[in-house]
Amino acid sequence: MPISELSPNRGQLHVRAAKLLRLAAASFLAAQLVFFPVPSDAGDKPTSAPSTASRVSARVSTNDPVLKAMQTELSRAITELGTSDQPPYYLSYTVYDQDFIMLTGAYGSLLDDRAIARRFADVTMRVGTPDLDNTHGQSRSSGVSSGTLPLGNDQDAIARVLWELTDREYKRAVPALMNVRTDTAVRAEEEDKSPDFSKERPETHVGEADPAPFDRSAWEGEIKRLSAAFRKYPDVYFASVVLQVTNSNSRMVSTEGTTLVSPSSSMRLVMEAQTRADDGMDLLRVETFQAPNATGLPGEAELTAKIEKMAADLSALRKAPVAEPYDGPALLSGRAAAVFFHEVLGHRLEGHRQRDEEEGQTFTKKVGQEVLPKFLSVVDDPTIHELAGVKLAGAYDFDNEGTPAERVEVIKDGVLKNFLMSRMPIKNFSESNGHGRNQPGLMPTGRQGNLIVTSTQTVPETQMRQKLVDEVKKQGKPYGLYFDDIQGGFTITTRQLPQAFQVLPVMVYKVYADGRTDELVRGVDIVGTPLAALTRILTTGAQKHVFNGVCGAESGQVPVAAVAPSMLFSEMEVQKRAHQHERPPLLPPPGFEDGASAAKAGAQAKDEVKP
Amino acid sequence: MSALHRKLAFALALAMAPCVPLLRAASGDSKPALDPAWVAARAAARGDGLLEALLTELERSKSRLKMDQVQPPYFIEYRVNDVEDYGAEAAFGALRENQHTHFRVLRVIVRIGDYKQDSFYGPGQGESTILPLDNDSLALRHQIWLATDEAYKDAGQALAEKQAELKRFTTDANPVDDFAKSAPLIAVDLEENSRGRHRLVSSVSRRAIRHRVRALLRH
Repeated sequence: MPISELSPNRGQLHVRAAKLLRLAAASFLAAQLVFFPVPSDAGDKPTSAPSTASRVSARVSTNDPVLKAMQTELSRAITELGTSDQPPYYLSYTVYDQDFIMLTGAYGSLLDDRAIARRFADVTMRVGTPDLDNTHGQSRSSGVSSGTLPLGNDQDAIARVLWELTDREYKRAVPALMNVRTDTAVRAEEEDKSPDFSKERPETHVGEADPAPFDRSAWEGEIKRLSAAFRKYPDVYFASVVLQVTNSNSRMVSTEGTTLVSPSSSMRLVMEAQTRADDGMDLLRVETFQAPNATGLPGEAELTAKIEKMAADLSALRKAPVAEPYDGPALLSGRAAAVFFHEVLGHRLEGHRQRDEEEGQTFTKKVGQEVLPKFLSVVDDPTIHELAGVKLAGAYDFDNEGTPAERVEVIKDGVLKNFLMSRMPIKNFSESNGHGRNQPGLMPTGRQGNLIVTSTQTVPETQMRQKLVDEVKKQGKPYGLYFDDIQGGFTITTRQLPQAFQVLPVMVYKVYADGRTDELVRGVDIVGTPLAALTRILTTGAQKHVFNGVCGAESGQVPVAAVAPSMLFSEMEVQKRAHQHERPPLLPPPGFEDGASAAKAGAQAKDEVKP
Repeated sequence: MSALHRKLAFALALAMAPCVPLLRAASGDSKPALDPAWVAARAAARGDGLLEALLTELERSKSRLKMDQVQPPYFIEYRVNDVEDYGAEAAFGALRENQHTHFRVLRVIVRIGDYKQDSFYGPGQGESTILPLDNDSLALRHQIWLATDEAYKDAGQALAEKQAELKRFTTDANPVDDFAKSAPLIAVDLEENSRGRHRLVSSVSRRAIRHRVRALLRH
């Protein structure tokens, strides 16, 4: 899929709202170009692969009946399939347990209340050789079959489903390998002749589950109270407060000897509010908070203050004029700059895009070259769980291929050094750096975790606005744009379409050169192309800001974080945003039938810029 | 596979059939006479937060919903399904899915035009949304208000589309009416709703379902 997008961790909107509305040491890889020995041709029993006996001996002693069933069935499967004409050279089972609670509140009541317990299994199989296997090129999806597993600890029942999935996957993988061989024979030679699967050290780690206690009735009360805070704002046509509580456990066993048990838990609170301008433009404010447990979420007083700010922003946005297309100096807040880097740079540094000949490959041959101003460096570090007091959504210990997460220094002092690698090798980068990620049911690819931009050329945050004004004056423009907050963005990486990106700002201000008060505007998106945009950064603020979101791409939805300081650009282009033209509601909201109430006065906007 | 899906007997329809006459009366008289059917519906709904919220918004929409160059509604219908759903799925003797959901769905139909020719066509065939699970009046009314607003706008669009389409064809000079007239019906049994809910909760425990499903699949 050539389009990748980032959005805040939004809750599941109710039916109507959804209709209305419509995210360690790493640079050593280059020094480790060790291609593991594989057979050069047919004879599909790779000498490099560990023997069946060694695979089985890697078994980890455990009292977990699910893990026992996985180990037993994996051992049986690889032994029996090992005698077939086309034996797998790699087989892994990953079982995901997901206990999920979602409470949705609106205007003081619970709108939705659901609790779901599920267990999925991904059976990943590779036949052929690590040099050329069934997952090559467009056949990548043939590497995994998925299904639902029994919830309890009945080992026989679990083994039976794994057996069926393994059989189904084998019957997909073998024909896929034949197709791959045929395609490879009849097509022109690929530019990147890297193997299909890297060799990695087996990992063994059994994490301890530590599910946080969840006081359901207390949270129901808080959700109701928080959502009721929107009642006093007649301009907020729809608002919801969604709490998602997830306790999950990922178990992985592979024929290479990897055994991982990775429990995790998260609580996510999403507050959304929506209004509609008189011209029909829907306007949205979203605040998202994420933490491993309840103690990491903000207190009710802080959340209520956020609600008041959201309502004030929406009230101001309703009255704000629509901005015109513009190209000139621009200041991006830290959160906006973070999303900008995620879309414009991060997706183009994902390893698999460097060998896919359908991809734009903007940076593939720029390793060692300057791609950013010298004062900027970028790392992707999933090993950091918290930054500047904020929990990072893209943190993990092992990626979905069982490789330990690593801090990857992708750009150092403006010079491209590395890519975000899964176990799909690319030219000059033969190993994973722990960024192979996927949602259950899909094959992993190189993905971002916590993308962190750092700068050595900073000015205090309080001086950034003046820097913008100075640049506006220098260029002889009437005004510059300040992008205070954004709701997400997307980018196109295929070579069949323009290498464009779009970032969707919410709070945009015109900052005038002649000293006029800053003016809030609406209805524009930031657009551009990566190579041009990245060279126009003049300076940055000193403070890092975090954007937590969910990122969607070929391997599905994965939680990510992007971190950056505010940034001043010499030039940024905005275009008009498409929108609906339906009128705002005809009647006043319930509770406001007799005209504006005193509460309305308390919801007035504060149209000021606070870079 | 076993699934328990219970639509509690909340499938109620409130039709304000004589809406147009009432509106006429309201526009010509500062103190319009109360419609007996309306008074009876209010009396029957007393004590039920959901019914009262529906009636309040129905009355407000009936008397005030009007867009420039679009007729007011002559009929509005609200239908609420209160759904509590427990799903359990098992394979090879083990439970593999266990879900419990509870939600209320509101369907709003707003008709403009008249019984002979109205907006029940294309986008004018109704709007759905979910409603709060408790009976908080303001929260309920907020959702009802939004859905009614959208249904009315859709009805305006639908009637225009329908009339434009009809102009393309030769039509019967005396066609069958689009909507049949019907006397207002009031049938409210709040106690039966409550009894049904208790029967549901007491007769089916999750453990019982698990046990039953396992037993079925093992034999």
